[in-house]
Amino acid sequence: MIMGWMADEYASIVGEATPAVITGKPIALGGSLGRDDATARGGYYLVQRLARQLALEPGSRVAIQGFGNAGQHIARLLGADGYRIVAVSDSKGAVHCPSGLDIGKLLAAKRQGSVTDLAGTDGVSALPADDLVSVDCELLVPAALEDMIHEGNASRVKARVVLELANGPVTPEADEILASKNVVVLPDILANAGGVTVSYFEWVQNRQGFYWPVEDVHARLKTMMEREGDAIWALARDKGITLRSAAYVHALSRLAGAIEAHGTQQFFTS
Amino acid sequence: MHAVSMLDQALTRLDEAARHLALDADVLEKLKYPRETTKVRLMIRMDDGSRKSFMAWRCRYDDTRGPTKGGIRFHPASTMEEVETLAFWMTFKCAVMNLPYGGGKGAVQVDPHTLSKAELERLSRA
Repeated sequence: MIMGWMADEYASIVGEATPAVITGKPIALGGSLGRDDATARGGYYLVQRLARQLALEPGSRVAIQGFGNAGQHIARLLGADGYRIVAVSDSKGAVHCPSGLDIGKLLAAKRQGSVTDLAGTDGVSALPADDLVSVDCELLVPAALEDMIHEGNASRVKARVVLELANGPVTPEADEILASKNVVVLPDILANAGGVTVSYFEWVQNRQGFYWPVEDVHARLKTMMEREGDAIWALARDKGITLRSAAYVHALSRLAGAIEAHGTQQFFTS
Repeated sequence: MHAVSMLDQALTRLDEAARHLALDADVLEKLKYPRETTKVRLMIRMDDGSRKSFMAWRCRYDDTRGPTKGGIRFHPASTMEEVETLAFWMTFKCAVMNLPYGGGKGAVQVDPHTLSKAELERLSRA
């Protein structure tokens, strides 16, 4: 809605339709198919790609912190592959079911209020929201706010893998604690980059005036997540560093290449 | 608030990464600071006829790899520093994925739930 208004405002200022000026637009104004679940889907493709190295497989247990857009979609995508979503939290609290929560019921409960409304049904128990990070599981997915895994609770994490769908959910201090426990963190700037990547696809489609079917959006996103995921995995292994450091090294080497290639034109014109 | 500033905390990731690369010092000097942050007060007409203004920022952190890409937050607790930190993250996120973009971010300091739909539209267009 907001992005549509902004695109429309810009169009009236310049006097012509210019959809590529802004992304995240409604489909009717030139938005891309597949933008709605792009953040979760990017993380999902990354998990799929690295599953063998991470010793994850259908049946592995997943805890999801935060049940907004990214949390709901990752539950749906991993659930469809046979992963067991054993705990989910939202702003009201958390629910836990060691044999796996019913995704359809979770989504319905959230639509009508909160996932906590499921507590007390079919072996589902309530859990303090703060305890979600220490639930027994293989994969922990922070999909809420910044700094949720910190110095004070990182040592209680039982998962072997953390998929950062939120921005900055693990503090630098917690990073060190997790690394010392051999917990693998799939870092935000890679793990949740599906959103910005499909925004980029929207811009490309707007500039081409050629709109892709959703299957094409998914296939291209998958290719890019796998390509960058593989590169960062290899970099981390070769240098013996965490995936987060490797992701920053990967990005920084691209930025450095561009900065050096640009030169310092302003020195010669002023 | 954070004991260490949010942007400084994010920059520790940059320092850590720099240790693993033979980088020209110029590169870090360029990436340590946001290139430009615009600060404005957006003024709109409310439904009851009164005028009201809201703080807003737009940070263009780095545009070396392309136009500065990044979303716009409408949040009552937004600050300039948060916008600059998120713009730093966007810079690296776009570079990780090899998108032809730099990094940016914007925010309007407002709780959108306190506005009517028409007020929100006016603020979005301001």
